[in-house]
Amino acid sequence: MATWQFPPSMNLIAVGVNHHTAPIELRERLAFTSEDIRKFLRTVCDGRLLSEALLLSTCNRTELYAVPALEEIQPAHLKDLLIEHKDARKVVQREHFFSLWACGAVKHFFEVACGADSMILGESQILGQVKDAYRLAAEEKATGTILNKLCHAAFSVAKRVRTETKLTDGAISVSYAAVELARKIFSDLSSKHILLIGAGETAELAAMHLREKNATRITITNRTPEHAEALARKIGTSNIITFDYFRERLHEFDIVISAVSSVGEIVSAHTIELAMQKRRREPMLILDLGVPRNIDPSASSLYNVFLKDIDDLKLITEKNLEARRKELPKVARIVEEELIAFEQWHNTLQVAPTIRDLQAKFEAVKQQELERVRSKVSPEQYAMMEQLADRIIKKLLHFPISTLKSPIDNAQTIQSKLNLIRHIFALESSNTDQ
Amino acid sequence: MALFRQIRANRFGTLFDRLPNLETLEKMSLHAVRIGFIFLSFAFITGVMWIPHSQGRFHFTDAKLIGLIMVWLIYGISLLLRERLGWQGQRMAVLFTLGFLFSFLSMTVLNLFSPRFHSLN
Repeated sequence: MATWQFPPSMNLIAVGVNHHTAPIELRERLAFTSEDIRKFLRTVCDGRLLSEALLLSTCNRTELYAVPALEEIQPAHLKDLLIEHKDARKVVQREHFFSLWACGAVKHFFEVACGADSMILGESQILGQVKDAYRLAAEEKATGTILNKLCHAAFSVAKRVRTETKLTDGAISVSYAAVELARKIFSDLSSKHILLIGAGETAELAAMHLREKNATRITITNRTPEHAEALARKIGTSNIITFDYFRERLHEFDIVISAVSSVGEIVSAHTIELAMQKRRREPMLILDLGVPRNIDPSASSLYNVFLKDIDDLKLITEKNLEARRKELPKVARIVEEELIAFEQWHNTLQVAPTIRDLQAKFEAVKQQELERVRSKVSPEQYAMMEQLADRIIKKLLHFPISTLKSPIDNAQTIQSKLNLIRHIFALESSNTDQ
Repeated sequence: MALFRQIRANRFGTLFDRLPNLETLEKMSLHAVRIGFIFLSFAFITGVMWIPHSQGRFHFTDAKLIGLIMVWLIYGISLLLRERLGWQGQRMAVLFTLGFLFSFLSMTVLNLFSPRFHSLN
């Protein structure tokens, strides 16, 4: 007689390196490209080491979430798999990894997906990276019941955090803060003339953020016209003016963003005063993102001129970062709620075989008893008796099944309930597949 | 005005977070003043026409009437400066606030200390 065994408790392991556990040099050694991830997943899942696996690799973390196929597989094995795949044995040690099991792994994955574990707190890029990692794993058929549910639950956590908390609110980069400030002065950026002085990385970032906020009337000026043209193509504008000429046309612009490095002052307060006179003192926002500063600081005293430099904008980013930190308790509550829901879902996986056995047992008794009377009744009467028996079974099983599926159970209480039910109804044989 | 000063002084506090942008606030106050000015002018004209019939002892040096003329002048000059000289931003906000404070004071003070509706005597 086959002996029934409990299905295993949540068999999920997470190992990885991230900005909490390892410096950037080591994280770089373990960074996986999309192709690397596919190759790795094919290796570990085809080799029957793992029944499910998902590998998340970003600039700040490389984390493997896995459901082992064998009980003997420990986090150390998974760490070795990652190290060996990247041939980083000489540089990366097991000590640089974190290891998490079951609910710990689930909780960590939720925190990663919603940005609460990110180096830049609340950044939203990570959710896209988690989705990409899930897509890769699904395409390689490396995900199953547990990881599919885990990923969808994580997406739900991220959505709740975005809508119910302010963890992702406010600018935390200087270029984005510049655009936020512009939106605090002007109501509609699409109607404003914007001048971008410089065509470097900072100018490009600011331009991209402006485009996201519907700014279309962007003009670029740069010492090297080729760079200005390249940036203009990127952001989809054709307005370029020569660097020597932009001061004469300064009065045309409502927002001026200057991001020229290692040049020093390129616009004097007198030039701005003349421009303000020409534009009848209409407000002008000047954002000086250059180091050293490109705009004469004394221009900030001119009426209706809002001149802000990098230090001023950093005040905004620091304030926003502090506001995000204050949201962490709310995020922790959401993660906890979703973690409980995930655990309850996982518990229902354990009761499924017992429910199937219970239904099979009752069905067998029904068939056995009906068989005894089959020859004594007409086919119509037999059909009626069968229907009656089905209704009785359904009603009898309703309470035991709903008790087993009760969401208030934890792993311990559910096991005692399963024991009791199997004992009372003498359920012996079972398939323990989940 | 408060938001203007906060942005100028790099104090990005609660007002910065909660209030709409400066341009919207200015548009809102300008619309309110324009509409209010039209109604005030209408009330002023109808009042001047009606008061001599209803108040026997009425005189054009009536304190409430002078207060009203002052308020009307403040808002009228503000709108004129806006249209003709392009005044805007904090300067306009100061004038509008002045007009509001003056009308508030003239209403409360005159109503508190006047025994009759249209006289301080």
